[in-house]
Amino acid sequence: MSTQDSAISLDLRSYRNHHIAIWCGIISTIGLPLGWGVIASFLLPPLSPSATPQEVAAFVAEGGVLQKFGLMITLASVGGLLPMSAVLGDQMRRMEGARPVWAQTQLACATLTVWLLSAALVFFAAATFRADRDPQLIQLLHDLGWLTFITPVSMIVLWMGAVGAAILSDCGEPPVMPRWVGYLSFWAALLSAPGFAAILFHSGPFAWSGLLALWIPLAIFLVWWITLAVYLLRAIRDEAAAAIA
Amino acid sequence: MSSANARTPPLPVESGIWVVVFGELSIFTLFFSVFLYYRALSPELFAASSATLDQGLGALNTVILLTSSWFVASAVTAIQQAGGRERALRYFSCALACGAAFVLVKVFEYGGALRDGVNVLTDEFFMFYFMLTGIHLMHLLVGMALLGATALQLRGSLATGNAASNTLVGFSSCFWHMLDIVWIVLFPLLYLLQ
Repeated sequence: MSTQDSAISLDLRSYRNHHIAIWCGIISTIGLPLGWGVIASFLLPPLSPSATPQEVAAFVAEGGVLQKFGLMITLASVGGLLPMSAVLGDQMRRMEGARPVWAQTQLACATLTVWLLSAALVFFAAATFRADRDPQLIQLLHDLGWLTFITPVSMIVLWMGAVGAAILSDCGEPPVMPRWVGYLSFWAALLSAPGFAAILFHSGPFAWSGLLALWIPLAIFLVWWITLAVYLLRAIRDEAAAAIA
Repeated sequence: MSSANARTPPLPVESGIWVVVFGELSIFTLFFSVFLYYRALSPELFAASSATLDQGLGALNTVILLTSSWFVASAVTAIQQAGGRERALRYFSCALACGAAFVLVKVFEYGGALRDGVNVLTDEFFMFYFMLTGIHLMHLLVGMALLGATALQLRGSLATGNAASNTLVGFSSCFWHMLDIVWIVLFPLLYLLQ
């Protein structure tokens, strides 16, 4: 434990705030697959990039109010990633010591990811906003939504890499988080990288609807984020227990 | 060689490293399965396109990677012997040079394909060829960065005389062997399978 930790201990009031913030992150993580994926049916299954303008227009027309409702849930919940990433940054500061850089990188990446996800959702919302417009234009908005969602990988790769770097640079005994979570973060970063190739393909596993560009990175993000939530809950519990003792 | 091995205990490797190694191997296995699935759908196209690849360059890269793995293994053995850290540093540098040679051969190979008018959008085989070798190459660059960091740390510890931790040595060497294993499967799948 560095001197910095003992100087600012996690009292009961802060513990409560941190606890709430982590749960914001967990609930938000459920919002994306449930709201956007299931209720708005963008993942049931995803429309292939090779779908014709008429197929995209039909998808939007059939979606109706339920689809808009799903997008609204997701737009409302996506910001919940931020409070949890603030707690994550706080714990990363404990790992890194007095001059943290990965903690700051982490928060910037989380902010930009929320912004990009919101932008993607707004493009989808615009596609559903006037379902009776020219199918070509609906397809354009649908393309914009997917490409904004899948292809800007540098934010997510840096985000995961920064978390991994902080966990593995932790010299405290015991460490704030187990080191395997740091290795998991690096692995997640490597796996998320191929998403940018979705710019190239209209079909196949590397297209935006494919196994390797969509499903695996999405699954690995959820695994990574929930693992972090679990170990953040443990970290603040241990800190609060140490503050009371 | 074997007597030296018998005297040196295995390098302690953090268990967390296996999250990366196991995770990477599972995902690459999935990549290979997806490739074989698509290959089974249009075997003639895959065989015809595969036949245009230069097997010699692929084999050359296989030899280069195997050699680099031998250097990494030798470095790990050397680092545990008294006074072996200078030798380990030389071995790591040789491994890095092999990595750079692999990248050069790959760039030459990609350049040749592009000159022949073949690219990632040509057909399904070339989609897999460029994407799988590209992803492997990206991982290899990460592996080279790790080997480079290991070599720098080792050089620093030689300069100051302090003992360096073996965490980075363990991680970079395991990661490098993992890259080698992946290539050994990738090479026959893409270049040799008829």
